[in-house]
Amino acid sequence: MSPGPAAVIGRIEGDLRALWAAPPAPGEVPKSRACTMNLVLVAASVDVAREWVAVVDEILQGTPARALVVGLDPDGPDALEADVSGVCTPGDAGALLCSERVSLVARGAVSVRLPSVVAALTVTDVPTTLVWLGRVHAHDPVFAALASDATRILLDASAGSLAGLADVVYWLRTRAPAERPGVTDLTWVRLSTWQELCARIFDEPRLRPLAEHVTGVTIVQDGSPGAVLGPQGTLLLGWLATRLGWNAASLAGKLRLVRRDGGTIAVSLRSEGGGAPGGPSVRAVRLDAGGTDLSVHGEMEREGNAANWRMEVRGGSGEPQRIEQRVRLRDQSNAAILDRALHRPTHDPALEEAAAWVDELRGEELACG
Amino acid sequence: MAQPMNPLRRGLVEDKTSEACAVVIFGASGDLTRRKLMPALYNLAAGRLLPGGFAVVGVARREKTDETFRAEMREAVASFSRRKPVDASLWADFERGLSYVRGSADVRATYESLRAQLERMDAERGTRGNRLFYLAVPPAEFGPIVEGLRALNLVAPPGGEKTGGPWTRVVFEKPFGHDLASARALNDEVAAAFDESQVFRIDHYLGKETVQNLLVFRFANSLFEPVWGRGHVDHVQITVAEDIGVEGRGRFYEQTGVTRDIVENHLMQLLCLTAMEPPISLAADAVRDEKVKVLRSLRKMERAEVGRHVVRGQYGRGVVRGEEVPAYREEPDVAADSPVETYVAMRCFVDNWRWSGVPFYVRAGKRLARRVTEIAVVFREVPHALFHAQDGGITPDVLSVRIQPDEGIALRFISKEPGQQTILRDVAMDFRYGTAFGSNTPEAYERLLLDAMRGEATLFTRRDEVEEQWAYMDRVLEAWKADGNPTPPTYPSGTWGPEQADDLLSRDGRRWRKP
Repeated sequence: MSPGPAAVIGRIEGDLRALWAAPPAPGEVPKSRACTMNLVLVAASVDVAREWVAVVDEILQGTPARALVVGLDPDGPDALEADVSGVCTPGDAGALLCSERVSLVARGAVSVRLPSVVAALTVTDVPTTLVWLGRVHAHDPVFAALASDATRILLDASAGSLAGLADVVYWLRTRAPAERPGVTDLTWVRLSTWQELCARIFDEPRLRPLAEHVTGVTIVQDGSPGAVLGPQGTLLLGWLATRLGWNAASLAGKLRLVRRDGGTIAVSLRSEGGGAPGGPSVRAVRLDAGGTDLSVHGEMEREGNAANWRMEVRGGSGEPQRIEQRVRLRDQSNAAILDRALHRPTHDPALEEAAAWVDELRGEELACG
Repeated sequence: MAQPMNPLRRGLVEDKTSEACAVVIFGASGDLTRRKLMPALYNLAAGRLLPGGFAVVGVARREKTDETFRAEMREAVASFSRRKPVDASLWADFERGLSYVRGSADVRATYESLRAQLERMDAERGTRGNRLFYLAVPPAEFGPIVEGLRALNLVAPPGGEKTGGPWTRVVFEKPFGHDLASARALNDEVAAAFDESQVFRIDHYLGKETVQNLLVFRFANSLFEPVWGRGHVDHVQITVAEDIGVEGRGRFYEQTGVTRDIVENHLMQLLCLTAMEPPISLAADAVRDEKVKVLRSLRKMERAEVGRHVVRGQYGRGVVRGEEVPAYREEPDVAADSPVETYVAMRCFVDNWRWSGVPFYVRAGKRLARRVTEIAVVFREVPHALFHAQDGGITPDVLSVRIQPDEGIALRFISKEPGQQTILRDVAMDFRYGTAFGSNTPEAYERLLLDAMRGEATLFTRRDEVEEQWAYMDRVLEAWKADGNPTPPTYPSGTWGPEQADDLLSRDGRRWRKP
């Protein structure tokens, strides 16, 4: 019979103490323990949790923390399995700077009792970040309990769903501001380069007013024609809509976007180039704005680890002004995205607004041509 | 009319770049460009913090092609960037925006060539007429450059960024003047071409993370501010110590000494940030207003008092880090009878409600025992001694903010040693940036260059700040001059300064920390 969770937690505590209790052996580099946060990563399956162990170890190289990487197996026999490791990196003055990583598998009924396991193992007086990988329901007692103790919640709409993200956003809005954790989404963080590239189109002061007069938007994602627009593309659309004041309306079952001034926006959603691992990523964006006096066309397309960004401004009687830039894309690995998510401001109203806007599209057909 | 904000920039939490612009570096062949500016710009590019439309134009006297300039800058980045090795594809993108203009500061043709090059950059790189001029040149060239830029209409009217027009900003490296009169004259000269809102006087100490953290530490924690004043603080010590000598800069040092090189600017800024009242906001002028109030509150020293409050020193031969080192007067380009000070210690008083009667002991020097910059707030002793010397004695609590190296904050307090007896021991709670947040933090110049490109002036010194700093230090400099600039006492290299500096504190019943 496997030991109960309390016994396992006792062993984990002992292992954690043992990591730092022994003095360095002769010739061994001394270790110093550091902890700036609890990083609690909960994956919907044991396999996903195992995949993320390497990611978490990479994060711990730059962000000293106590990491709890949890794989859930609710259908298994009741058990808590644990493995404790120190994750060290060269620090100041020749010593090793070490974090603690506890890998856990919560099976059967223990997965329901996970919050009490986590509560026993987190370090006090440092912030806690909850990374939830999988489908999420804000009122799931396990998620709700863990989220309530967190300073920040990181979701991944690509691994879960946009509906789950919106659900968490709504749930957080019901909490008192002082007790409201921030929420970030890894899919949203992956979009940040696209957001910045879109914003560049309207940076020039004379073009800023055109942002209120967008006439067309095209989002192209990796995938086969006919696929539904994925979470990345949908969140990008939600971001544009909430920043620029667009409303969604349906006409004969087809999505229409309407500007603040009542004008309509031609929306083109496309899938090209086949599927990609990890879900469809945005591969190109095009925006048209303005009227007869002054107009701008901006487009950006991913090519390898860079994007080709082009802009053409037409106005007056002169020649069109064209600018082209090649922009390096940020590292999109899971570790890089998680690291950036951890170092963003805790609260991100733009994400919350975009998630809520997208949620209102539920039932709309977002099929790509 | 004010332009609307780009709505797609609202709420973007990453990639906070500036608007498109060209950075023009005067002194592009110099050490500062190689060691600090170009690595900082490269690191900003690596962090994707440079705008899409961006170019760097180097200006210097030497004849060289764009290709030579790019090759030199690549070598500089490879040697001095915190990101190593140089990313070849990133560099290939970055160097496309680098170009070079040959010319002297006092020749009109220099500015004509520069203007033509900048117009080319506007067309080819989309820099939109926005310019950041960086004067990494000796102060004697500030005036001619400012005049050259003005004469060739290279300065856009102030406030351009608010009305949709192009903007111009200018960054000055220290030293800004060598006394109050010269600083005022220089400010007047600059004001003839630039509005104060366009002027960014750099003090790179303000770009250091720990210096910025001082504001956060003081004003984001409720624990410290209530004890931050005369009711609880016995005195404050600020130390800017270097273990190196003048390192081939003898000629420069003979003109400046440590007073003009360090005390007048870096040390005064640290004192201001330590002593200032909470600003009403973090807006540039709100913060700078409070710093100016501190400078105006500094108790003026009468000429006769300078000797009692200020100690000079000059390093003699000695041993630093196990190596024998020469005396200051044996350094190249230093006069054999030089009276220049390489060490200064001062007792200052901030005469305001908060700090009345609390001495600020400040010191700066070269060839001291170790390299360290710190602010130490030494608290009063407990009012009644329950514990006695045989128990271990009671030393005052000290909060030390370490600016460099090992950036961090430590609080020293007293604890009971475990055991049957009551034995007291000093212990420290020690927070280190490198441990908590990793060591790959941005360099000061990265933050300052980006802030200047964004037009954020909080970390730059304003005209009245510079003049108030000089006004205070001028009294000291004039007193020394009136006494015939006597030879300062020497101290052996590798020590903490001359004995007279110890006397400065021991007269008050205190002693210097050995940080």
